[in-house]
Amino acid sequence: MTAFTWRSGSATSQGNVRTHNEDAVLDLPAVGVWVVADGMGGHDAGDVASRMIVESLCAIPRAERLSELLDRVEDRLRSVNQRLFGLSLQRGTTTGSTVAVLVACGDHCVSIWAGDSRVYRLREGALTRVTRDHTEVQDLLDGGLLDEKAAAEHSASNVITRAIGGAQELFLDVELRELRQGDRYLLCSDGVYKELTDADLARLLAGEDPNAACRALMSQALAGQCSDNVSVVVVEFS
Amino acid sequence: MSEAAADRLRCLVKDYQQGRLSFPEYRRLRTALLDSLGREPGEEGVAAELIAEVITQPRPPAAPSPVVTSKPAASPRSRWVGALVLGLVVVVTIGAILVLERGTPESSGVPVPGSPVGSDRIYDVIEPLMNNPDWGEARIAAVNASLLEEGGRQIAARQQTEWFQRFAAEVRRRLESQRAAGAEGLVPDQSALAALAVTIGLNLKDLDAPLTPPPRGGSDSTARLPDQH
Repeated sequence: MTAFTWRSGSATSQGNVRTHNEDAVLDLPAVGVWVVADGMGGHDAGDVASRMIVESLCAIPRAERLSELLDRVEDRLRSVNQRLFGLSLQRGTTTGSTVAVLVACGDHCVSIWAGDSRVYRLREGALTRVTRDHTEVQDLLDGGLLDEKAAAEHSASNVITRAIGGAQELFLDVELRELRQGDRYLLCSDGVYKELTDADLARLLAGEDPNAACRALMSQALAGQCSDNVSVVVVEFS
Repeated sequence: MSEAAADRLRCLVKDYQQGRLSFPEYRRLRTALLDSLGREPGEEGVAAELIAEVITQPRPPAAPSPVVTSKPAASPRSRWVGALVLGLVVVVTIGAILVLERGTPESSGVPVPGSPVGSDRIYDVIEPLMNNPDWGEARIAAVNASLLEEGGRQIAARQQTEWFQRFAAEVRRRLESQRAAGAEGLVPDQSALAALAVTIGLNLKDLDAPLTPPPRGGSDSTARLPDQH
């Protein structure tokens, strides 16, 4: 087994229009866990939800095995889901958050997600999306009822079908990848990929180091209209 | 190994999300798979075979017919399990034939409680949706289209069955939840869920009202798919 090391960076912003930031990020290289969460439900709901996710994961202990680390992350997310779902019932409005998590151990990594926050991989200049959005538009795309162009302009592009706190039972999707020298992973909220093209993402993600890549991604996103919160985490494996 | 492992993990996730694996089973198999990464090929094979064996055995009564996924060359143990499953299928099939030949209510189209014995096209359409947490517009629209194809008469004949009532209750619950969340446009022309509700006989103006005979399928149906922009 190849022992990989990694370095990472992260950044988040409320964007150019919103008055508060409902996104939250977690950069935990000592453990091998990175998170982007995009809250929903407005002020005092969305930010609470995304913060609860990050707070539940920030004290996660290091693990010797990938399976152990994945179980711990999943247990915490399921617990937050229960609390948020209870809160939603209590308040009568949805308090929830999307989440994209990357965990790494040994020579593999796993992406875990719910909603439309994404994980991308940049390998030898080629950008690949690891996650599949849990959105109505993605369902329409998969069903052949929409093409990419129509999907981008669809009125329901913000409607997600899965989130932490969205239902009593949480189903998280999981994707496994083998690591290679020089792989870079990007975790981001929808505010980023709606502002930047895939070509932009690939070019900016290839920056000098993860922190520089984060700065470049944020700068470019904020140079546009940037009507949503924007958050990025970049992890480089070597 | 990793590509194959990634595929197997995807299958495990799907089997869990579609109700073919319980959460503890899913966890156990996922752990076995991830812990086998980087081991010698022989050891990986054991984990793969274990996973394949378990996935091929559906949790009763999750589905009316067994779900079969690809399986590696059968070991003596898996052949034994296969023979047992085959035996059970034969017994269930003979039982179903005997029941049908005796002219039970199912054969005359009278609704019965619980899951249908043998194949039921309406049940086959709605059951996958009931076992899937993902109720996206496209999936609901596809189910609605299939139900409309079956026709209002077929739906009406099953409205009083326990499984159909459970389905109607789930559609009602989701509609109420969307309304509570302030969703607008919950009408058949704009919402796949509302269209489905009409198709199965729910009254959108009074969700608590008993199911009514739905509109006939085909061209005279008033339940429509939502507009696709």
